[in-house]
Amino acid sequence: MFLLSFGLANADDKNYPERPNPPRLVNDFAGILSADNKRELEVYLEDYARATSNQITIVTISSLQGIDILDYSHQLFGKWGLGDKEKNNGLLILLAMDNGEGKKKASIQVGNGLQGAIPDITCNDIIEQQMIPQFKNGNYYQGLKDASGKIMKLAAGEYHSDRKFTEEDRRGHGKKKNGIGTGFIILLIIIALVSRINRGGGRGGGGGGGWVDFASGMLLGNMMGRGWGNGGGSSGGGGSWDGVGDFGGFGGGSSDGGGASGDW
Amino acid sequence: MKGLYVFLGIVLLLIFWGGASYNGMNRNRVNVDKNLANVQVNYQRRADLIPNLVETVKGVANFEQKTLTDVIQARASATSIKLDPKDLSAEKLKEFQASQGQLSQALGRLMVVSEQYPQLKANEQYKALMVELAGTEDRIKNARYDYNQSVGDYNVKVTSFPNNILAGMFGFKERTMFEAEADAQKAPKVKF
Repeated sequence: MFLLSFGLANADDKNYPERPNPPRLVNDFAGILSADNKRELEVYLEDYARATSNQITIVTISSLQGIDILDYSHQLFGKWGLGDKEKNNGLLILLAMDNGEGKKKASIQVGNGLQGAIPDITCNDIIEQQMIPQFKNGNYYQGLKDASGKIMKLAAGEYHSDRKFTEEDRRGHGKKKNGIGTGFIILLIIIALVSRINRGGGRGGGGGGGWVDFASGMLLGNMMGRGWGNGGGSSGGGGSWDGVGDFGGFGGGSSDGGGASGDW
Repeated sequence: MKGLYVFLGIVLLLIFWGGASYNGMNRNRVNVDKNLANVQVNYQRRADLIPNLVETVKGVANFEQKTLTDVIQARASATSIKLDPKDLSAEKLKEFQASQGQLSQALGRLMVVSEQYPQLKANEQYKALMVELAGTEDRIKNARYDYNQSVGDYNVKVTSFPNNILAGMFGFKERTMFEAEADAQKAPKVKF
């Protein structure tokens, strides 16, 4: 059944951008934000997502391809799966630079779980008060930041993160670097084996020495691996330069529609 | 003796197959019922907005009476029809759809007439209700779409072989979809 409905939904997939990988909360397909602004917004939204688990997502596109902005938003919301599947605490701010009639459009659509805190009329107010006045002057960053700030305040206390992200991130990064460590062990084993075979061929009966080399090689490899793992772990914790993907990824949430839109 | 084991083996296989097949169909049916409930929730949400809307319109402008009574009447007849997933005939669904369509039309007229009352369009409460109404119409549309999708999946499942044998035994009947709305019945477009 899921396969079938997926197949049907796929028919018009070309109109919608792919889900970002690694996951990002700021997706500027229209290219209206500077790199610095994008990064600042991303960090701003990811910090909030880590703290509350609410996923405020910003998407900008150059054209709606003739689709109504709320329909587009509803489809994209479901395709990417914003928010947690159980909590449905995603929120999509969509900006379209052209609606086919020469107008720029903005919409906010809210997952079911946050609709109590942010009803449609509030979405409408945020678009009219925080977003459009700034957008008219080309201040996309400020408009988006103010709107996000307002949403964050409204949704505060609705949900709490039930994951310890910092802990998990550190472990996650450690594991990744340990992977390199394991690679090293394997490499050393191969070197040890090759050297054993070589020696075996050269000296005949010198296999014992080869095994000692092999064992020491493994020990060395292990130590190296651990050393790398630790080093990698600490640098991974502090060095995630823009924090991309550190919010845990989209959780398969959906919206039932609604929300609000405006143009400028 | 050997024949008995073979027979028991076949019976066991049939039971496993039947169970899996039943569960599959049941899952789809639960999904259809859930989506139907969702459609009704959203129509109810719209109906709940109407008394408030009528009051606001009455309060702000000396509004044309007939348009208002049409809306009130259409709401009354639309809310009198409830859909029961246990007993859902194609006619009943059609009746439901027609009465909701009439309400859509009445609301559409109300909005057209409202255009002539600038003091109404400047009213905050009226504006808030219009936003809420637009969002609700959007949700109705999505809920109907989801319902139709799930009915499509369910119908394919219960009518294809070999599921259809069990479907007949356990009463998994085909379901009816909502029809695409005729242009006249389309959800009213809210404009400011």
